[in-house]
Amino acid sequence: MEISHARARRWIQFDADYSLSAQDKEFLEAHLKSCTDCGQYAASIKEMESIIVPLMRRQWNLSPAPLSIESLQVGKTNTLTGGYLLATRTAIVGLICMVFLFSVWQLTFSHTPGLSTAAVPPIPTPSIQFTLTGSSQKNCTERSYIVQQRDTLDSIARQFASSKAEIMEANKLETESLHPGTTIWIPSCTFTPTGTVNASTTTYTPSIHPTTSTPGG
Amino acid sequence: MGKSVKVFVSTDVNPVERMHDAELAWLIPQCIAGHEDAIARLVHQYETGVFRLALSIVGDAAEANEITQDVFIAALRSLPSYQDHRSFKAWLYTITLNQSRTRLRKRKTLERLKNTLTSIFRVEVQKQAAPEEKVIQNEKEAVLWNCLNRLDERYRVVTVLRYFHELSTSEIADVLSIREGTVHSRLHNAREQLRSALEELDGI
Repeated sequence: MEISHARARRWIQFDADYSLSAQDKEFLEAHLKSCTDCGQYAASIKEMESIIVPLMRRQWNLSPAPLSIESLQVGKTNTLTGGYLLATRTAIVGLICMVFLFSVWQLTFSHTPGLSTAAVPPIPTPSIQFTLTGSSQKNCTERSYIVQQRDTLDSIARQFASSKAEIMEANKLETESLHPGTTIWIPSCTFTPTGTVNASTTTYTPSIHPTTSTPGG
Repeated sequence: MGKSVKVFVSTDVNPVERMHDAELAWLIPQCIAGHEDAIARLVHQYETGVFRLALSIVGDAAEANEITQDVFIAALRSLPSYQDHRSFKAWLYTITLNQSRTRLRKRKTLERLKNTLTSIFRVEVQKQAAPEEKVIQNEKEAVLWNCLNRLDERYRVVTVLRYFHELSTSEIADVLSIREGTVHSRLHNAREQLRSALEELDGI
């Protein structure tokens, strides 16, 4: 079976992992016989391996210092007592945290003075009163409109800056349903004041007698 | 890619032969019970492998010895929770790897702290002689060694496990808790980087 160069290189890599099946290995060998580039690739990998492996061995083929079994056993008990020590330490730290959190909680709740619980008369909002003297003029225009398929009274009112109530009054409509194709009159009116406007405000001075209670110590 | 027919050329790094599962099955409960000779046997079987793995990660023999001791202490402590379905060596190597990496991280933060202090206070700090350099014999070795140490940690670890500790890809996957496909892709990547580093030297 003919294999491509890309596949050959991939297989060379798998071969280096000792993960190439015997059959695939045969195909690879056949390819390498005729392909010099891939042959070069395989050779360069083998060369790299032949250098790096002895080098690693020279670096790391040392022997460990003899381990005394007693030290391992002693280590075991040490970690046991160490565990107790750690547990007590954690408990103490936890206790301190709880005390800290508790005091913080206490402080936040007693921070706002007794005002919130005392009866405070609500402060009335000062109001401004307008008085209109005179009259205003109403200007209305009416236009005809043919109702479309998806129209509603609201949509038409919006379109012509009018209101649903006005349209219904102008056309003497009893229901809100419209029939497409019918013609209706759309009034749009504007108001212009011709009189004068007086404004007066009433001011309040609230008197609060807070019953303060000293925050709990 | 078909199923593998493993052709292992075993020039075993660990000279002591592999422990049989049956012996392990008997040995482990003995160790849990605290019998010293059983512990001694277990330690003797695996200490070289553990030490060399630690050494290949941290680079320093003294530190590797400390790590070996810590590994066996930790292993003996958590031996009751060891599950049978996993290879014992892989389990032990995982502990070793974790310990080594923690040490390395601590050492790196210490180094950074030292550097900061020296730059602030302009104090001369004695540099420890890097022990690796003295073993390099020629330029090719220097290039490959440099490239290996420059590799990203995950690529370097699989390379060392594969070429130095001669673990199979499934064992590597077990030790690192990754899929076997990931092991393959990382090995291929590392190999390609090392190969091209060598190629650059040849000026091809």
